[in-house]
Amino acid sequence: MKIELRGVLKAYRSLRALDHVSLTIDPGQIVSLLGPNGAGKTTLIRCLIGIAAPDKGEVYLDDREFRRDCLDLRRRMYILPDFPFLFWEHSILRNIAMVLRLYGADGAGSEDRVTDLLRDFDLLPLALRPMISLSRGQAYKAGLVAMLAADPEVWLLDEPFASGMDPHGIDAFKSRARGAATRGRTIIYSTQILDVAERFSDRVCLMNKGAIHAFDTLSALRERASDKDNVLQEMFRELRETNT
Amino acid sequence: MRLHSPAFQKRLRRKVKAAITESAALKKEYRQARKYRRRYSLNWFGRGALSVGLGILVYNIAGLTNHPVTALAAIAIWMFGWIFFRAQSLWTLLHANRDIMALRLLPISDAAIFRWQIQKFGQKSIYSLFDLMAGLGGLVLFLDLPPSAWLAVPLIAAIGWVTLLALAALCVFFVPRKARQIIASGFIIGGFFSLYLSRFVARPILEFIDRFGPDLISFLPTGWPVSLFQLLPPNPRWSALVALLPIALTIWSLTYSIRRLRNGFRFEEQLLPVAPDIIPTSETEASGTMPPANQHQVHLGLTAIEELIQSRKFLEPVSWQNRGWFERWLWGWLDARERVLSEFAFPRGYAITIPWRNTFRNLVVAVAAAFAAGLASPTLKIWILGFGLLVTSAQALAQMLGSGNSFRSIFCSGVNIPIYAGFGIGYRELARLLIKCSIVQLPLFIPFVMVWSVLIEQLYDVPWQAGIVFGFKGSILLFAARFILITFRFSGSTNDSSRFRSRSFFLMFLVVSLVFAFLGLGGAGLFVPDAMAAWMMWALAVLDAYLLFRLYGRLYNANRFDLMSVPR
Repeated sequence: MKIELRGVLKAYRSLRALDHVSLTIDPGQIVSLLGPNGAGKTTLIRCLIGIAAPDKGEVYLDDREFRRDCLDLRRRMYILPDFPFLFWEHSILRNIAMVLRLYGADGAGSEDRVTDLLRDFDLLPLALRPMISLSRGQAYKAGLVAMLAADPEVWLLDEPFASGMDPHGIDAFKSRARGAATRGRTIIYSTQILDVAERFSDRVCLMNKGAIHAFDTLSALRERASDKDNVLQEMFRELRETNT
Repeated sequence: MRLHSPAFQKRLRRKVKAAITESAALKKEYRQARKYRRRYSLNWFGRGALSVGLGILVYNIAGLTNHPVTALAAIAIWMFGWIFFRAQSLWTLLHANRDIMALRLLPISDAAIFRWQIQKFGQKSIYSLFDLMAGLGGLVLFLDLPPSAWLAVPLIAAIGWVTLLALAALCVFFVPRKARQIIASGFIIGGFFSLYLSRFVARPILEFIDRFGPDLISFLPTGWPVSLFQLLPPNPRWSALVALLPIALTIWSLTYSIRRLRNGFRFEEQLLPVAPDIIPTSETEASGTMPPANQHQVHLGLTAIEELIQSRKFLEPVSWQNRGWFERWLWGWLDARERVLSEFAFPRGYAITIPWRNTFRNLVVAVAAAFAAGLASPTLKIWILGFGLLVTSAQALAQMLGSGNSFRSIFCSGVNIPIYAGFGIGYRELARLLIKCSIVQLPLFIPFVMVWSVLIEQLYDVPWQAGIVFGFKGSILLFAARFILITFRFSGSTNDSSRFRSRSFFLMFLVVSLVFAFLGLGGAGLFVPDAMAAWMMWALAVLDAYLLFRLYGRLYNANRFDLMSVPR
């Protein structure tokens, strides 16, 4: 799914969380959103999914203007915030089943997908446990499995690497995301961990004070940077100097 | 209780100030931030005005009826409604207040936090003291009592206030949360309705209070302290002193309540019992009853879990259509998407038959008890009937207007986001499901409201035919209110009115105008004597509710506001 933001402005009182952001993301990419706290990363994700409403500008998905009643477009996207949208009193399996049905992804083969994912994320023994009895990392993994099982075209993840997932879970997520990107899925995630962004993204979107500071592939960013080994660190340093 | 060191705070403030003075950028930010820091709370003004309003109302009631007891009964009813608000506030402060989450991180004992929350409860409830003082003051003014009576007013008000707090604490234990919410909402809606349609309903309400004034201040627990006012006039009613005993008992119960609240106030992660290893379609879950936590549960091993997944049984929706005829009807009417949404909104399945059976059974019991009691005492008959109608109407409305889990909020990244927004569930499809749930219940709801109405009309010696027409109209209006309530439920999880800007103003104006129009037209449809005009007004009210729902939906779909709200 092609994602396009055209001059999106989103303000919270005097603070411009998104300041006339224009951006095009082609399908099949892994895009990391970087930026200092309050740069507008989460707001961007929320605007993409329709939770936050832009004050100005539009969001286009596959060249169609995205409104909340475009449910066909909306169901091709999935958001996974820091605390997943799940029913905490239900078991993991019940939550996954509900997500699959809501996204119409409960057709033949979904049972294999679910078994495979639960095993991959070490959740199979916990599949019948209520969400509330799980640790934060396990709960996040359960949300992730639900999303992966629904297999949406666009994944929007807010700080997945600060979610309490164990290293095995993170590896499993990365390999699944890589595989999904080759199938044309778009993965957009926010992070503060520059090493992760450097190794795990096709494009980096560096935001600052609601504006896009840089949006390019890592190789292109490296070409422009003086410190080619620490390109993101250098850009962050520059940002900080500009801000202060 | 101090949670910080004042000396430390002083030092910190001084250093922050120095840092701001030294940096031009920080100065700029400080100036910007200051602009929005000034928030003037309208609470004090608005709530104070409400107290003054009560004083004026009491003065007028005494003037209109020339019965001070009627005015005291009005104060008692007012305070009775507040019990449920205060109970909700107490429960929230102790169990759902976000401060507790922050306080948990500090090295403070549970007892200290509990004390602090209770103090906050007392502070928040102080307005009720002002209400009592204003109400009793209005009566002193009307009766032109000597200055010594003015001195007694704060004392009676204080006794009434403490009684109210004690009743609120008892209410937390003995009245279920859902019932508290319904009763509190009922008082707001009823109060608003009475105010807005005062032309039609003020007189019957006043007549009722005037007729049962002495009963009200004897039966309602909030009437006991205000009945002490009868000791103040030149010819005091010394029998009012009898109220001191129940008042003392009620206030004494506060120690019991506080002890019980303290025992239940533990900072422990809420853990549900290990999920029963049952498949979603098994008989237990389908019947909506979960096995008790202490029941032995058979844990499935890895292979069994895999088999369960592979069998696809976990993907089968909760089976609730066989609970009764109405459930089957609803299930047959829902399309595939709505069936999925029904699981989202009502994870344990939707129940119609059993709740309605209970409601009608309670109504029959209440009516039978009332008429049996009526042989001995007509007053007792009215009280039993009134209580029965109150309970059953709360049950029926909760059943008819319930939304299940649809609008539950999830706290993430500093805001509350409604859970439906996380799964791409649309405004119209979710609303359609809820409306269908209500429509299916209309064959039960309409006769219920008709019976309810006939019983009420019977109290006023109105012909039963009029009661039936009134009940029919009322039931359809309540059904139409479903559209408005759904709109409000959507609106409650957004920030559509959190800022003053032109589009918020337009939205607010639209919503408020249409709600007022609904109340006005609905009231006229019920009370206007000209039958043809009344039916027309009634139809317009139904149309108005639907219009509000559709217009709000257009704004919702056009992304006119965020689907999130800042937690209070």
